Amino acid sequence: MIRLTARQFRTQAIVAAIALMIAAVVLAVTGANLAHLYTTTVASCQARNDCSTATSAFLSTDGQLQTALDVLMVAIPALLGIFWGAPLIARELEAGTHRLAWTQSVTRARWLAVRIGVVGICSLLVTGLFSLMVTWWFGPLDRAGMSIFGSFDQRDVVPIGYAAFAFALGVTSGALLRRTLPAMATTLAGFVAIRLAVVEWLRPNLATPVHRTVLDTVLGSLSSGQHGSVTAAQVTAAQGGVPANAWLLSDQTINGAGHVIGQNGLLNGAMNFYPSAGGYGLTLQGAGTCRNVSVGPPANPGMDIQKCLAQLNVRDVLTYQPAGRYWPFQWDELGIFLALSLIVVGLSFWWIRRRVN
Amino acid sequence: MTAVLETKGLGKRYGRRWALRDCTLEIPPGHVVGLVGPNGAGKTTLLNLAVGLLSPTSGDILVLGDRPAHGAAQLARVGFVAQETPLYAGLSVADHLRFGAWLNPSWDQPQAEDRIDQLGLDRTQRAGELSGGQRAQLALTLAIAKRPELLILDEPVASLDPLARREFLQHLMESVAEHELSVVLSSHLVSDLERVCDYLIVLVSSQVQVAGEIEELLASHHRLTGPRRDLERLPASQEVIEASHTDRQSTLIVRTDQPILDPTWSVEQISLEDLVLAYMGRAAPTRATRPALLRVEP
Repeated sequence: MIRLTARQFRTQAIVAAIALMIAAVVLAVTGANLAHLYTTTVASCQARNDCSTATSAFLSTDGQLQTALDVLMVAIPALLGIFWGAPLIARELEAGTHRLAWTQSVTRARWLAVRIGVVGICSLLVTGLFSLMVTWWFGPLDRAGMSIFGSFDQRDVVPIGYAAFAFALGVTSGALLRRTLPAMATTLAGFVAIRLAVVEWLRPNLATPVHRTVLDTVLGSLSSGQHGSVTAAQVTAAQGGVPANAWLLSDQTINGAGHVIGQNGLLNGAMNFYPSAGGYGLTLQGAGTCRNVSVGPPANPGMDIQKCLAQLNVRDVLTYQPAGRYWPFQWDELGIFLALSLIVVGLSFWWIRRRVN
Repeated sequence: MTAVLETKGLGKRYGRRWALRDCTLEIPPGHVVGLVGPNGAGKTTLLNLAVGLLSPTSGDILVLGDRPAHGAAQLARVGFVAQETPLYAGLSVADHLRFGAWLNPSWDQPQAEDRIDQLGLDRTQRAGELSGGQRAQLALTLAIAKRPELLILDEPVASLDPLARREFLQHLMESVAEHELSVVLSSHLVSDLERVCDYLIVLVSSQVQVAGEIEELLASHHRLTGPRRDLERLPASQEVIEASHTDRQSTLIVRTDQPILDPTWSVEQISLEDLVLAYMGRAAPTRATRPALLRVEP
């Protein structure tokens, strides 16, 4: 049975192996260059005091290749589910060859187990190897970019979970729908839906997020010429802010009473800045008014804007998943997708053994 | 000896439609059994149930004394050539033989190769490029090289031209003689059955109309022609299968084990085809003259 599956699957396996080899060569050459560039620019930027320029220049190296790899890494699990998973059973049912296969001296359950085993493991292997190459290639960029959660779906172990799930979905929709094309479409739709649901609702809550409250300041400085109302003023965390590599889930500005008066650094209401006795008055809608706010050179009497915000107790509540949770989340999500795959594959076993006639 | 196929109240339903309903039959071993009946009689359903491709909605079915497709050992005992002889279009003839050898522990490779040589098939040719007759022959070769005790064929020759049909049946008969197989094959075509079968089952609307060895069936059925008369007055031993009357004459097909003594009857031998038509007509009176039995399906 294994040999039959291998024979039927030979062409696809060869194509996949060649594609992986081409990817390996391209990534090895460009990746070595990238690593060299990292050590010569970003890693030693402090000595030359040009860290922000060096980092942004480095991050845009091989931009097209970066985009291509990101897209491929997201697409490959889905493609394998569509082109390897969906036809695995549907094509046999469509061509009627299941009547030949299921009347040989091999039980239907074994036939299914071997097919799913051989082709399924191949699709996990292809995705796993590609993820390994991509993760290695992006290594220096990820170190410089300081946003590891931004590429969570395209690195390390989670793509293997996605591949397993897409494959399982393909096999089972093929078994249920009995036709290859509708099974392919269902696989794509189901895979995208579940992936988005996990990214949107499940992943942010895999662990209770960390909340951190910090004082705010108004971005930019106010000058005496700037009278009147300034709508949607930009505020930012006065101190600290989000730790490096953490995954920021929300950034809310609250007033002294704890009510939300702004989102993601923008205040909902208007900020009003006007001359008054002894300096300037500053009104933040929803938060309150400061008197005697100074503008211009620091020598001027009165308080500065940040002090005003402190007096009004305007703060920023940052909700995030810290960088240390990256790997636990990788394993959790891998586990979730592998468990989902097992359930979906179990359904196809039940269906093929009991229901398909 | 165990019946090759035994069903009791067997039924298969798709949604609300019964493809086979309350079918009870028993096929003794050691025969080449022809299963004949009109389209929709349930032949294909019955055979698919027998090889375990379908599972019954109701009733019981035993094949060689065991549940169909009950484990690898039971699968190995039954060979099957499905309708339209499905093969892997992309795999070559040699691949198919390999496939048979991999999946069947009792596979007879020399025999399969001999047969492929006799048929003159090119081993490197893909199954999708074979003619209908060659495909059927390859499918039969696979089923026989598996060395089953029972070979089941579902309309194996329906799509073949007369020459291919004759070659196919010849191949089948040689294998039966060589391996002492029991065979069950379904067909619309009585003429094909007559050539290869020694046992006949007429199935109409899931019900067995008549079953028995063909020689006995032919010996016990007669066409009687004579002056018009009332059927009530026939001897009790004569079962009327079909009766037609003109103003002055009655023509009957009767089944009896006794000699026909009434001298007013002229007694004729009946052909297998007439016998089958008579039973099918009796089961479905409105379709008595339905030509389906004689039609070759495309």
